[in-house]
Amino acid sequence: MLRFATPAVLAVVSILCAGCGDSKKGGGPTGGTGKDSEPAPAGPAKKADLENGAIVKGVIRFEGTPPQDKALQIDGDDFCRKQHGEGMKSEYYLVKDGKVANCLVYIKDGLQGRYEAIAGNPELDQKGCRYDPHVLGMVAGQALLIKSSDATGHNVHAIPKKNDEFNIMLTKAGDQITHAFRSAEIVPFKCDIHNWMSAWVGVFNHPFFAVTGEDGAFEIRGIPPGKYTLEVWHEKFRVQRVEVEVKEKETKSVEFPAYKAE
Amino acid sequence: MRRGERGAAGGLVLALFLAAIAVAVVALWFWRGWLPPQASEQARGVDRVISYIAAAAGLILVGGHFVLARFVLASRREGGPAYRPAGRRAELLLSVIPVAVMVAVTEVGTMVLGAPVWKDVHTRQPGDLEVEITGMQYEWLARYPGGDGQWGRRDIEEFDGAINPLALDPRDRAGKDDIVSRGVIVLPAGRGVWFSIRSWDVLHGFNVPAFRLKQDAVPGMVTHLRLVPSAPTPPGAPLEVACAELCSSGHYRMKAKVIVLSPEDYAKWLETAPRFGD
Repeated sequence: MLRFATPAVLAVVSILCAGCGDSKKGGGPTGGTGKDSEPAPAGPAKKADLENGAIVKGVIRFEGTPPQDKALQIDGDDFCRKQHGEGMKSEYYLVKDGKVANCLVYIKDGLQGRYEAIAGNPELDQKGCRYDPHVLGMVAGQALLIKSSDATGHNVHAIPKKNDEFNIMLTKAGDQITHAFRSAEIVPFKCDIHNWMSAWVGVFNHPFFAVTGEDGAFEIRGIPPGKYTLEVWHEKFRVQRVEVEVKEKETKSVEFPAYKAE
Repeated sequence: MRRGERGAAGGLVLALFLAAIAVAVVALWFWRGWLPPQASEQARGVDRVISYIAAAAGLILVGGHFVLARFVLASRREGGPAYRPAGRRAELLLSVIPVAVMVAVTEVGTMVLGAPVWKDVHTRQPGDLEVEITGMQYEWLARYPGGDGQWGRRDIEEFDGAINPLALDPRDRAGKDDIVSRGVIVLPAGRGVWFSIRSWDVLHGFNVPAFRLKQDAVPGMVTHLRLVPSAPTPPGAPLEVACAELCSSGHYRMKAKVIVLSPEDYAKWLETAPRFGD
């Protein structure tokens, strides 16, 4: 009897584990599970030369009156309502004095091979029923720490196209997971419990990216000399590209066409 | 212990057991504290069916045990009970009578008491307020047609989890005055409400225990339910909507509030509630 029971149990366990993701609660960095359609460039990752590399900087602008963010309905959730006595608004159009925040600026084309991360492992917090930050960048293979500072349940749901999707409950303040994306893409995050919560994580094969702050400014350092296509991405506006050529130790200002009201 | 004493002790335990069941059945019949308050006009009828089923099933249970006890006690003898095949007539009677009693007590009784309630909660009446309820992982959304009484069109391309969770089409004039309420369902007391229930994703169960009504939200179809909220809810004490179908890991969080207002307060709320087109 046992002879038949053991394979059956193993089969059930393997079926149950087929849906297991590559995230670990409170664990260390993990890798993807190999569903990638565009693997990272081959060869060892190079180090960015911050001393001799070029700097590209600029400001992302908006001309005219930008769309307005709308009030969110949070009355159904007592915890979130208490965190925001004056209510919450969506955070799509953070435009101040014509300068656009939460834009992801990065080298799209022109780099050869992969590059190591410059900054440490990034963090994505859930605080006051929002993801914080709303947009961030990271290098493929880095361990993204996703945590909750809220004393309520949040559901971390990443919906990538090239990497593996995952959907994990963080039930209380202090809960955290780490996750490593293997392929480059911009990954949307949501919380299925609080459907207004969203975040975007740009995953790259290099560290030459920046996210604009309230002043709309970006600065990318350590770029090797060469000709590149620079791209700016915003969750609601169209993607724009400019060509740029940089020399060693050069600091170059780049001007993207301003976004306009459609 | 001698045989006679053993039999007396066994009979006493059996009697106590049956008495406990009988007490429990009677207590459930008279003590309604285990049910939430009745918050709809339909709740009384549903409770009547629940009580009837509890009492009928309880009496059948007690009666069945008395019969069982009768046979156990009657068959006591040294060396165990003798095998005695039933005659054809006894076999027939013991098959047909219990089935007839069960059908009469459970099915017919339930139908007589329950059919009017069933008809009531599934028949739209003139003057009913139509409220659309949508379940999505893991929240409930209510939509009201606004002053024009017309529902706005949907366009899935317009879906936005933060500001347009029902994917209403901003180009459709009929939808501009639609009211979408997230996590809070506001209803008027004393007026019929015709719920049109949908699901965005998987099977959910729209369940308001205080209304005593429950209806699955099924992706791809619209289900309905009618009720009349009986009285305004006290301030700060809304009724609870709890998803009644396991819909994934966040199922336990899928709740909403039902606030019942007086007709005057409801009219005020309707005037001031934000419109989709605002």
